[in-house]
Amino acid sequence: MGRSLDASSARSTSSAITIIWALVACAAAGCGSSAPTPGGGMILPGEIETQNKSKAFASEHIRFEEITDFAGIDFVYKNGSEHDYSVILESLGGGVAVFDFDADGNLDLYFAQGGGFSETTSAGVKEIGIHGLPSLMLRGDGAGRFVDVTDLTRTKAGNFYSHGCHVGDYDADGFPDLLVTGYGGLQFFRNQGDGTFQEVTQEVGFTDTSWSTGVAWADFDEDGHLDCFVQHYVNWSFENDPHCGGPQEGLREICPPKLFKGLPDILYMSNGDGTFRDASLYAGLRNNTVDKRNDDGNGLGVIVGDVEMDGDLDIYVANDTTPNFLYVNDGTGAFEEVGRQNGVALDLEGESNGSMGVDIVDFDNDGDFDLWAANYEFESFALYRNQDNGYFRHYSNQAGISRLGDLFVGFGTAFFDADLDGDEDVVVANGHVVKYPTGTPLLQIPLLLENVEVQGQAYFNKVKFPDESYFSQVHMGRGLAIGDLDNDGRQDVIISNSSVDFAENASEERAVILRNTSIDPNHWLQVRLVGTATTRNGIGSILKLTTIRSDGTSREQLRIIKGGGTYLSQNDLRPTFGIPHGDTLQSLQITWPSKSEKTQVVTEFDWDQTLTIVEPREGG
Amino acid sequence: MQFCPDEGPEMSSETNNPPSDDEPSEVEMSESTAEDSALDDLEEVQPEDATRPKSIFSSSASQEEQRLPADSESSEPSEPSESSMLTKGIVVLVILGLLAFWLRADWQNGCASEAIKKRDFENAEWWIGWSEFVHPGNLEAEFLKARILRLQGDFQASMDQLEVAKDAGLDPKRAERERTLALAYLGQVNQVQDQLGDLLQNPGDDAHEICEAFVMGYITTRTFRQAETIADAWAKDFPEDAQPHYYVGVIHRENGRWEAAQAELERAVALDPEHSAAARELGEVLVIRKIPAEALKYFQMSQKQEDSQMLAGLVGEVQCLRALGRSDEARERIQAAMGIDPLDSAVAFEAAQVEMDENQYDAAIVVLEPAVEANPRDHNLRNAYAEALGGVGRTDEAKEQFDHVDAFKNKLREAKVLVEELTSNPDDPDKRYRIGKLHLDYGDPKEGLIWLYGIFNYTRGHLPTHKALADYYEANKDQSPRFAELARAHKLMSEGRFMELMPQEGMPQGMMPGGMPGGMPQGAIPQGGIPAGQ
Repeated sequence: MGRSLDASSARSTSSAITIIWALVACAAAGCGSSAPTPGGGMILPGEIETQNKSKAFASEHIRFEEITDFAGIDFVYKNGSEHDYSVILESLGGGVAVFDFDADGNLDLYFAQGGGFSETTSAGVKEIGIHGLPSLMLRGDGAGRFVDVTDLTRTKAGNFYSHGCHVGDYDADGFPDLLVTGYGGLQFFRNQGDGTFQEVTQEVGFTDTSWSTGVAWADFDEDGHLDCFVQHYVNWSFENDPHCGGPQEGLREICPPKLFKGLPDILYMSNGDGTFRDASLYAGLRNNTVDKRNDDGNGLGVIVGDVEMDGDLDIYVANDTTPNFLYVNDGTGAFEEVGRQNGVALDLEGESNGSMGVDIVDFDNDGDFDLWAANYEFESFALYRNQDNGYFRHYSNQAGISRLGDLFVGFGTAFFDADLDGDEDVVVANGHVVKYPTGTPLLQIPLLLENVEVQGQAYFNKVKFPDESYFSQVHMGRGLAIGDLDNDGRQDVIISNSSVDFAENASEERAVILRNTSIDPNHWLQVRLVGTATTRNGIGSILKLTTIRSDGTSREQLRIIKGGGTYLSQNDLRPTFGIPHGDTLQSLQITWPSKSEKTQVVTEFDWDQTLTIVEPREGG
Repeated sequence: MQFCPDEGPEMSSETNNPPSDDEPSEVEMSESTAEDSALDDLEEVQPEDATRPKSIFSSSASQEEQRLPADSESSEPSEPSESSMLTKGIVVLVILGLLAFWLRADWQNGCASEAIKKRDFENAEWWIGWSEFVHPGNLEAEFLKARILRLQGDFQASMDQLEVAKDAGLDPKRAERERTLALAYLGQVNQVQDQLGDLLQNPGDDAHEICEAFVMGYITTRTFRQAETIADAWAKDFPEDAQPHYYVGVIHRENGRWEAAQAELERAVALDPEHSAAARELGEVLVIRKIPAEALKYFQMSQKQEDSQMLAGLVGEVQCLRALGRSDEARERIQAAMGIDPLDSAVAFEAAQVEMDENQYDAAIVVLEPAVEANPRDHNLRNAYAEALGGVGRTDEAKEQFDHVDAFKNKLREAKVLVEELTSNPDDPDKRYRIGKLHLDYGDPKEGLIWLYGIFNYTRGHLPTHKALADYYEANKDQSPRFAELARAHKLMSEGRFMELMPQEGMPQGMMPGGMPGGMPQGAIPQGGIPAGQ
């Protein structure tokens, strides 16, 4: 917008010239606009410009180093944007799973690989096909290096355009199995324990052919077998593909999700024999065809945990632009959706947000679990603080989340104790979903928010990293997972970025490994649970570590073995506790998820190790 | 109250020496520096410009006023010297000159015009009153009264006043121009847009008014591209005028271009730090952009000027304080807002949030209960009420309220989808009708009315729209005496009985809904109306 005062350049129309003469005449008559009055305390434009970014704080301890080259990883998620169809399918991106598939004690990685489009002409009619591309399985050496074992493990997937990868040991054999989601179905790989997988999608009863995204594995009916909650997004297809205009004539923009109908989610309940049944109706999941409420939800993220602290596992579903759901479990796998009533469906203004990534955390160490959702631009990321027994209050204001600025379209996210100081920090991968955003940039910086204590309250500060840091540069972040890839007790971050390939923007940004190199680390304790009566990895178990501070007071930290979480991705299932300098260990209590809320207390253990705890058998 | 002569030097300096991008902005200068600069400019450039009597006069006066103390200091206090006598003589002459000038009707009316430009109607009316006192029945004063009424949104009274001015001898062409601006301002731009070129060819003193009326009209009818084109030209030609930047900021905001909106509104506020609407709007944009620390400053700035939207600034301040975790201050400010209007939905909402932030759900219910009753269509307020009920364990009541919100919000979600769909076919009157009807039935009726009247920009006789409008006005006729007339008119239109409508039905000819080119008749919107400019 021109602001030139040069008459020869600024006046291009006769009306504009007339206005100038009008100005002169007006000035002569003494009716010119008043001059700006010097304002005491006035904020000058230049100052606003510099303050326009939200404040960031240099962390004393938190450091991350990108080691993707060292790790030997060169993976780029393909979304087909180079074909320029500009469809919503391209915007979701892909996830990453962090798990130890070969049980060698070192974490391995799996990246879902999206897909592409192809045109065919049949009887003069053009058709656009959607195809998948092979995903990538990498074996870790425990020192941060990886080798491609996709062929060896037979986990290429690629039957459809894929998004998510999620891990659960459905047959409790100690070898985690892998479920891949995407447009057109599920692909489920059973870990055979010999370094190979076998696809058993149909055999186990995963008959879903819809557009699946997030997954949460957990035992909802407490029968000792893992069940599987599968989210679905919206009813887009090339047959239901409205035109959404870009900023100029002829440019096409990706349509927003609200132009489509949400698809109902599915709960696959285990039959106990290695097969599953669709128990969605019994479970009471929202389903528009049944309850006609037109609110199936545009599901993208899901997390399982015990928000009521009553021993059974509840489900929190993050929906994109529609209200989020909270399904509370009656202990039998039947749920009631109470998101609205319990305060986790909407934001403070009562509006539904574009929620993507989710997590469950006791961010304020008050002994119950709070919920977290990464949201769309101009929407504050939502931190819902558990007030009492599963009733929540939107707490982003009080926790400093609402002053982060508007730049962020948040996706993969996870709480973890980055600096091992006894409280959990949070990381978020960001990046836009449309091609021509008007409000915020296309590529965005990731966020690391450090949990600090201000006047006795938990508060989050955006950590400022050096300019050359990955965290200081913009990316198209999507899937994110955490896990200790180099076995040093500090949890590392893995991010799967999405492709950008249209108009003047072309970026094939690869996935990255961000090694946690935080300095002056405190002590740590990593815990690996082995369930016997409950599920193998103890999903849903609550761990409480008690340490004694130097002043004699006790510090209690809560963790839960999470089902689902983050965005289209899988975190390492082993929780890590940070133990600040000066604390001494007292006890670790494990509450296994069951009706009896069986607890186990361990007192003889040391820090800086991975502690394996086996669930005691009945009477054992 | 601000007296017009004080503004003379500043106005002149701006006209002669507008700031360039490379020069320090005038807001960075101290008051005395700005004035000195203005005086210097006048001395060097046009000390004897006969076409600028007011500017020269004003600057000379200031010049003398500034120099007098220095002269006095150099004189012997006990024995008046020749120079001090001369100085005193000059002072007397200046005062007499000022008095003579101050008594001139064109000066008073000029000051009134100036105040109108700043939308300082109280000041303008003071000057008009003075003008009428000194020169009873002067034409310009009658005309300016009509203009004030127009800008206050009272179309009919404005037209009546124009008739009075015409009877007193006002040039009919000027009266017609004012009427044209009124129509544009009301959103009936399609009726008058052909005249825009002519108006700008010969704007007289009204370039600012012409631009503003059309920009407002296009914003009201959501034809933002045209609004932006005019506002841009306006900003280019009047670079020191904050108002076009304010409107461009509003247009960017309406289109979700937040960064651009922020930049334009910052320009507006920099040009005119007393532009409370721009400051408030900027605060709101910064809240949306999640920069509450910055937003807070602008909301506070917006409250320095008392206006009808002052409460909104106060509420914005509370929002920011909460986002910054400054709960004690938030509580203090919201109590001030509650003292002004506890039933205002935004005030009640924030007050309830302040309570609930501290788990005071009972207190939140006390605030919300009457506010929900007073604002039954405010779904966010009702949602907060439901949340508060849940917080005290009244779960069944909470569920009932949540279900109510759900049902209505689902309908409004449909409207949002239709708005998205409209981008590919903006001329679709049926879709516009459905959007308007959804807002009318489930959301903010004002929003619904704007959508429905907007249909007449695309088609003249959309019968379902007339039916919807007739039903709405009939159901709400106790809200405004005008509504009964509108109900009858729209009912006739919906039944195709166009001929039965006469111009004296209360709507000026050319504003008949549907029968004539479209637009929104006077009094069609419930109290509060369409958000206007400063």
